[in-house]
Parts: sequence; C-alpha cells; structure tokens
Amino acid sequence: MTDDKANMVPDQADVKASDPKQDVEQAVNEQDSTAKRPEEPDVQPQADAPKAKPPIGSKKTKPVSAKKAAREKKRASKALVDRRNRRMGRFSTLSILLIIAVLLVVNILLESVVGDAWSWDITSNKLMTLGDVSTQLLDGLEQDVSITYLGTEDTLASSSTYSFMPDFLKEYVEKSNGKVTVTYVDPVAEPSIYTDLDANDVYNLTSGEFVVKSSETGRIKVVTTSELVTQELDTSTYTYQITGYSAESAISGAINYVTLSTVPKIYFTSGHSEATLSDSYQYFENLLQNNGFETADLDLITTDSVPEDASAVIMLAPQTDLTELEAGKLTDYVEQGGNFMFAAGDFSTTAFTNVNKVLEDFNLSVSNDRAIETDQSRIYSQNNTYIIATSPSSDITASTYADNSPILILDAHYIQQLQNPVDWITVTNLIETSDQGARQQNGDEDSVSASGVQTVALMSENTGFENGTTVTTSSRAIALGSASLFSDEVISVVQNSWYNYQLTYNMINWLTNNDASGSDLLISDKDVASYYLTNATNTAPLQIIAFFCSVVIPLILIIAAIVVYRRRQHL
Amino acid sequence: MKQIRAILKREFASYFKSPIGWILVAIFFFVSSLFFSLNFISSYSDVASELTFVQSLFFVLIPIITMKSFAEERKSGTEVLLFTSPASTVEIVLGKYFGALCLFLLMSSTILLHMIFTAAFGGVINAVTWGSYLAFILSGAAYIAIGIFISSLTENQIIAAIVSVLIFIGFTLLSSIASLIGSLVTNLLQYLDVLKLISSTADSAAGTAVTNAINWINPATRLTDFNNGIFGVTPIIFLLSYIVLFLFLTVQYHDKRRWAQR
Amino acid sequence: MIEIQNLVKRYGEIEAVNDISFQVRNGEILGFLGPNGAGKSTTMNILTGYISATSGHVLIDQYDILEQPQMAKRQIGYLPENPPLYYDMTVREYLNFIAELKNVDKGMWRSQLTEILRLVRITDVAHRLIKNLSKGYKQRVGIAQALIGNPDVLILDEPTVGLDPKQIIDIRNTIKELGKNHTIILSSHILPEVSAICDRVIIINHGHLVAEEDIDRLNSRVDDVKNLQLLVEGPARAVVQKLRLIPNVIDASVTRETGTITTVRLECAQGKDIRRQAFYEMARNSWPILEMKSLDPTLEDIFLQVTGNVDYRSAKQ
Repeated sequence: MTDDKANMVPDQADVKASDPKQDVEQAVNEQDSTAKRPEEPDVQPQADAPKAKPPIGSKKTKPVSAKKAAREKKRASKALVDRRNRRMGRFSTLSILLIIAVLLVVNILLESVVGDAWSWDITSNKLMTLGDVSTQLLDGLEQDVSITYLGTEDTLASSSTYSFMPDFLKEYVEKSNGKVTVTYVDPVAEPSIYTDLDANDVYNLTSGEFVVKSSETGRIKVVTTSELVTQELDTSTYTYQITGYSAESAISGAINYVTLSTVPKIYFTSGHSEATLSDSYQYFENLLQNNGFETADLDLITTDSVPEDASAVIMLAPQTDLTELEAGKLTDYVEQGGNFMFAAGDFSTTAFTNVNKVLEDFNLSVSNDRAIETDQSRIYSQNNTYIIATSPSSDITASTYADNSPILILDAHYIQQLQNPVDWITVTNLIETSDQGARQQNGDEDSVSASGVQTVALMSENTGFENGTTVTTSSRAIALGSASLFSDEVISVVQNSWYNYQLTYNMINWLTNNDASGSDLLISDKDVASYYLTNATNTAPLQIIAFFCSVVIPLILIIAAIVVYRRRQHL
Repeated sequence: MKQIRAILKREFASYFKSPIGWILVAIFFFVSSLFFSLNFISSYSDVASELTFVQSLFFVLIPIITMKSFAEERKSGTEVLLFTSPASTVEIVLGKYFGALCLFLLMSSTILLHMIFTAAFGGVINAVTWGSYLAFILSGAAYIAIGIFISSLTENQIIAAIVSVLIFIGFTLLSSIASLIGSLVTNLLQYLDVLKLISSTADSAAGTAVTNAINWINPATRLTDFNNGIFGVTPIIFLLSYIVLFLFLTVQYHDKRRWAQR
Repeated sequence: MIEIQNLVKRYGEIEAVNDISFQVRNGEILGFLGPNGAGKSTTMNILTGYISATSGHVLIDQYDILEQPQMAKRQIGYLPENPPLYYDMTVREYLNFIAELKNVDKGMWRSQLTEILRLVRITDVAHRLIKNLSKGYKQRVGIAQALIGNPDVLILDEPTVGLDPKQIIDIRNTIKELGKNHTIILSSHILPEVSAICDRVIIINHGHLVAEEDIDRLNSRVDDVKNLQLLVEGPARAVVQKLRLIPNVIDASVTRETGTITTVRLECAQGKDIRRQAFYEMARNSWPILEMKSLDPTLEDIFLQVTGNVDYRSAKQ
C-alpha cells in the first residue's frame, strides 16, 4: 500500500528543490511535527532533527541541500521507530543473509570435513562401492589417469541404465586421491575433444564413450556403455533387462591397462576354423582386456615364427589340426620360453596329432576320448557330458579357491598326462571329474571305460628347455579339454557363483607368468537385484491387490470426499 | 508446544473437512498404485523406481497442499486470531508446516502399503528402497517448506499455487540447464577475455564450477545419490537446511509485515 | 489494567495513531469512539499485539505487549473488526480449537464451553457450520471466541457493525452482561451505542486523542444537543427561510426534496426547545408538517460539543 509513497519521497524532494518557498514550508511543518511529541522516552529525533531542518527562511536553498534534507528527513523518520518496537522488525536483509550464510557454512563445512565419510553404499551388492581389487589398484596408482566422458553429465545421469555412473566415477576420484580425474566434455559443444584425446583418430571416438587415458604412457582405453552392464533380452516383454553390472571391471581394467608399463600380448592362432573371441567368447575377451592383455591374431602359415612380444599363444576351439610346419614353429616358440594353451572346442573325433607334438614337450596329450560323469549329482541338466567338475588345489587355485566350488564344463576331451616322468616337467591336474567319471572311447557312447577320476584340463611347466647352452626359465602350457570353461554359453549361466570365470582368470595369469607383475585384477560382475516377486505362484491374489490399490481405495476416498462434503454443507 | 499441536490438528483436519484432502490423497493413491499395479500383476515390483516416478507429481500436489496455508488465513482475516493468541510466530509457522507435512505423510503411506505387498510376495525391499523412501519424504518436506513460504507472501491462494508450481518446475529445469549455464559462463569468459589473460582451462573450470554450484543448491538434484543406493548424511543435512531456511523466512516475513511502518 | 503511553504508529508519512496515551481501569467498559479511519482499529491491533507500534508502550496487566507478548496476550480476548472465523468449521469445532490455541485446561473447558455458549446465546447453533450462520450469529461466535480462556480484558472492535437493529440490541445486552466480570474496550463510530454501554469514552480523530470523558458528562452534553428533522409539504427555499427566522435556530438545511415534500434539518441552540415555534410558523404558511422528530446527535455534533474549537469538518481534510 505504501511502497509508492516510499518511492515518492525523493521525487517530492526534487520538486520542492525547484521551489524554495515550499521547501521552507516543509521545514516549518517538520518542526511542528517534531514539536508535537517532545518527551517520547525511546525516541531520539532531537539529535537528528536540527540537521534535518534547513534554517527557516534560508533563501539560498540549493537542490543539493534539498535532496540532502529529504534524505535526512527519511532517516529521521526511521529513527523515530522505537528501539523496542523495532525488535519485531528483525526481518532485515541482514538476518536473512546471516542465516543463509550460517546454513551454507554448516553445509560446506560438513561436506568438506566429513565428505563422503558419512555416506554409505546401501545397495545389497555394493554396486556403488569399489571392491578391494580396484581399491588396491587405485592405492598403488602412480600416474595421473583421466576419464573423459564424451557427453554431458546430465545425459549420463538421466539415462535410465547408466544413471549410477557419475556417482560411481566419483568413487574412483576419491579412492585414488585425485590421481584419477573425471571430466565430462560434450563433443557437440567442443568437437576438438576428439583430436585432443586421440590425435591420430585411432579409436574412432564417438559421443557416449568413456575414454580412459594415462598421462604418462599416453595409452588410451575406450570403454563403451555396453561394457558397463550385461543385459539380456527378456523374451516375454522383448525388452533388455540388466542382469549384472560390469562397470567396475571395465573401468578398473581400463585404468590398469593404460598404466601398465608393458602390455602383455596374447596371440590367437588362426587358420584352423578357430572360434573368434568376439563371437562366443565375449566374457573371455573382456576378461583379457580388463586385465591389460592385448590380443592379436597369429597366422602361423604366413609368419616365419611366433612374434617375440607374445606372452602366450592360445589355440582356441580349432576344428582342424595344426600342420606339421606350424607345429614346428610353435615348438620353436615354446622351447625358447614361450607359453601355449590349447583349448578344445565342441567335442569331435578330429585327431590333434600335431598339436600333441607341441604338447609332448610338456607331457600333455589331448585324447579323442570324451569325459563323462556318472554321479548324477555331479552332472548338469541331466546330461552326463555336462560335468560339474572340480579343481584340485594347486598354485593357481590356492588363494581364491574354496574346495569343491563347482566348475561347469561341457563335452570335454579327456586330457592325458604322458608317462614320461622327468624332473623338469611338472604336470598338475587342473580340472577333473569326480571319482565316478568315465571316458567314452573315441566319443563312442557305447564303449565306456571303467569309472575313476578323469582329467579334463592339465597344466604343465617345463623348466628344462635348452636354449643353446643355457637353460631358459619356465615355459608353460595348458591343455584344456573344452573351451566351454569360459564360453559365453556357460558363463552367462553360471555367472560368478561358479568357479569357471575365476579359474579362467587364474589360468591366464599363470600361463603368461602375469602373477609376478602384481596385476591381480579380477573383478566379478555385480549381480543386479531381481525385482521379480519370488512368492507369487498364482497371479490371482496379485490382481486382487492391484485392483484394491488402484481402484477400490481411491474410489472409497472419493466417496468419502462426496459424503463429507454433502454432510458438512448442510450443517 | 501445545499451540503447535492445536494448529497442526486444525490444519490437518481442515484438509478433510473439504473434499480437497480426500481428493489429493485419492489422486496420489490412484497414480502411484497404477504404476505399482501394472508391474505387480506381472509379478514385478520395484518400489524405488515407483518413488522416482511419483516424485514427478510433487510439483502439482505440493502447491495444492500448501497454497491455502497462510494465504487463506490472511484473506479471511483469521490470521489475527493466530497472531493475537498466546502462540508465538514460530509456533504458528511450525503448526502450519507440520499440518501440511502430515497430509503429505499420509499420502506417502500409499508407498508403505505397496512395500508391504511387495515384501509379502517375496519382492525386493532392501536398504535402497528405504533410502529412496527417505529421500522422497525429505524432498517432499523441503518442497512443502517452500510452498508454505510462498503462501505467506500473498492472500490469493491461486497465485500462491501458481508461483510454487513455477518454482518447482524451475528446480527441475535448473538441473537440466545447469550445465548449459555453465558452458554459457565459459563461453562468455572466453569471449570477454580478448587478451587471453585467462587460460581456456580456467574458463571451462569456471563454467564447471557454476554448473556444480547450481546443482549443489538445487534440492531436486541433491538426493539422486539416495536413489542410486548411497546413503549420505550431507544431503540430509542440506535438505533440512532448506526446510529451516524457508520456515525462518516465513516467520521473519510475518513479523516484518506486522511490524511494517509503511 | 491497561496502560497506553505515547502510542505512535506511522505508515510511511502517514500517522495512523499519533501520540495516544490513556488508561483503562479494572472492570471498566471503555468506549473508543471515532469516525471511520480515525485509527481505532490500528490502536486495537497494537493493543492486542497483532501489529507493532512505531513507538510507545502498551501494558496489559503490567505485562508489556512487546516484552512479554505471551503473558500479555493471555489476558486479552480480541474480537477484530471482521470476526476471525474459520468458515469450514462448526461452532463447536471452532471454539474447541481456540481453547487449545489458548491453552485452556482440558478439564475446565467443558463447563466453560457450556457457559460461553449460554452467555452469547449460541447453544442451539453449536453444531452448525459457521459458514451457514447469519451475520448476527457469526458476530456472537466471534465474541464467544474472545471469551475463551476467561481473559480479564475484552477488546471488541465495532462489534455491532453490519447487524440489524434487533441483533444490535442483543449484542449490546451481551456486552453489558460481560462488563460485569471483564474489563472491556469497545470501539464504535456510533455515539448512542457507546453511551448506552460504556462507563467512559475516549474519542479519537485522525490518530489524535480528542477527548476523554465519563459517560455521564458526555450524555449530558449529548442531551444538550437537540436537533430536529421536519418533513414539510411546501416549497423548499421558502420553508428554510421561514425556519431560519425562528429564534434559537442556528441553521436549517434541506436534506431531501421529493416533489412538494421537503425534509429539513434544524440545528438548535443548546437547551432550547423550538418545536412549538416551528409548528406555528409552518401552520401560518399553510405548510403542513407531516413529521417532526428530534435527531440523535451525530458524532460530528459531539466533536463540536466536546472539542469546541476543533472543527470536525476541517480536521477531516
């Protein structure tokens, strides 16, 4: 009501300024008004009043002094407010600023002092917390690693599937004490980011990818969003459902990879109708990548010898044997300290004569017998070739393996240990059936051997290869009766609860001697909580409850509203 | 204390003396249950995502809860009654606030019912669910404090409702345009910095800082951690600060208005 | 009981209340008289602690309304100009709420409620929605509200405004009844109301305290003023001219003219009865007097009377 009046005061002053007579009048009035209440106890206008009043009759009143008078008059009128009464007017800008300041300080202090110490991951699978493996990795991190998301933080935070990522990445920053930095760069706004990160356009970066880069090695690892979660098509709804979270292994793996001083390289033979990693061994491929292995194809026919940077050569699920020439090149390789793994594919009676020539140096041999299990409690899906196998304790298994953790292996070749005992070859059973296992000779279901423990995987170390005059240190080999140990088909079924994944990881590290480098990175996927009701055998009660909640109760409330309204209306 | 209770009781009861309270609860019940039921009949129930969904109803429901609070009292002249009673302004504001809060809690009990059904049929009710529920209640409580303050500024409840809706929509928009504002700052700095005195990284750092600051003060974004399963004390304190601030402003505004010398 | 010292309330440049001081004795009914906009409601709002003064003290039973608002407010029952009613409540619900708000003892409340309902005669509407009550009943609920907690002081701002004559009489009787046990400040712009109820009167105008008098003195002054209203069938100008010639008539003015009938207002000198002269004068001119009645003095008249030299009309500007 009076805001305008308040604003009018200076205006009036201006008007008056042009009319000295009025100015005097005003001064007189003012004197009157102050004179009217001379002895107010808590009011102190007197002190200000003389200043506020230009001398009566002063003709040389200038605009400036008139303005000043108006201002002082305003101040005087303010001063008239009783100090006691003013107490109710604490709504000063100051008090508001004060409380805002106090609240801000409390919050900021709390945030900086307490920080995330007072926050807890309450997800059942500790989704948002980095595991011990990652924590150790970050603790020992000596290089600066940047994680750049090509896109805005908002798009990431608002996506239904990856909304956890911004918070999750913060964990890396905190646990690494700032060694890891996370930035969000929208390539639409700053297209130069592509060349900043990847000058030669090797990785063909696109928006929506995470680029992990070490400042020291300059090495880059691109993590796509599809690596963050594992999804499965729900055939009833034709939508993808998240079945697990693999973000930690992907990001930690990338950090591990880009910070490695040298990158171990594993060659996969080609030319024998081998399986390709990206086809049906994606879990295995991720495992290798996340643990800092580089992979490459190796065509032994066109190359003279196995490249020197090979940490291991793997023959993955071949359908045909090596040629003699190839076998010779491989033998040369292992005899100079190379490592070799043979992993059989789907069972066939194809003879791997030349492969066995290479394995001979390790006292290993792949047979054409198929291992089966007769203990009904040790087979999977009622199929006696689907063996629930175990791994006897060994160097590989010692640290993480709990006895009798099951391993699912399908359709496996029996792996034979050659009877050529020498000091420098140590063969260890890797995977075996129960003592009720048996062999179908040449895969023939009708000719079954006597039951006993059947080995389906062996590992062997030969420390006696001669290189000229000196003896090279260990050369290692693994013969695996079936690559199903780590095939997508099996891993997607057994997930982390079985031993397959872990064993595979341990095998690879053993094979490449990687355990010495301290890189001990195995991060299991985190299972997603299933929101399906487990006690709902019958949908009828569900429908009743649904109907009750969404129809009956609201209806009752609406009726109550009408009844109450009508009854009270006429009270 | 007794005065707070008296005002709370009257406030809460008044919602149910007119159809408004019943209808508010019915709407909330209906919408949340619809979301719940559509999943539930295919034996699926994710209460945390249901909470995220119903939170989008806030910007309509909460202004309706709070619009009457002080605006109506002022219009009908009943505020004289409150301010000349032995109750202090703080007690009056708290009574009003808790009255509105109680209606909100009653509405939220729907979710509790859904949780019971979910648990009964072996669905997932874990710490994350409770964390999301707490976040839901807290942000509702903060929004109500804001709504109460808005309501005390005017005697027209429709204006109060509209202003509250706009503010709440503003919060939502703010979270999505925060980065835009940040990059705007960056660009502005780069544009103004003709002499290149400031490095471009400093420019973008300033932009990022602005974005972060906006998100930091935005109650709509502070609790997303809870939905992701991180239970933190700082966001709770932050939202409580919001409540304290706006209730304080309400108290101060009333005292100031009654003190006004112009 | 109530002490007001040098009360000032400014709204910007406007002084709504300007240096008012007075006291109300225990058990007294004080009339607070003044035209609309004189600052009555502002003063009452300050007395009750609803708004604050610019300066000055208000003591209610020794409690300063600023220093100890809770204690001071406890002593007061206040009926503002617009009764503060929640229309969505029934009378009983409403009164129960106020009782809780004023922290009335639960055990005492039941009997007190019955007593209040009886006193302001709203027992038979206690179950009804306030919204559906007539204006008179609403006003009584307002008074009932002020009575809750049995405060020593009742402050009633224009309690009869907007009511019909029967309701006014009812409310006045109720207030008189209450006056036996309470100290009451009653504001009004109607002189007869104040003189009918109050023990003492305070007259304010434009925020200034104009007079403070016992009701008997005021009444005697009021009795002195005898103005007449005449309904005469005759030409307006001539009628007025003739009437002015009568001795002791100070002024005569036409207030209304419908056809041949003229309504005239006569201002007479103090203590003089001119009715007979007026009758004969009109009769002589064959202008029949259709109606003659003495007028209650208006507030305006009282201002003239009481203040003597302060011109009410000029003060208004």
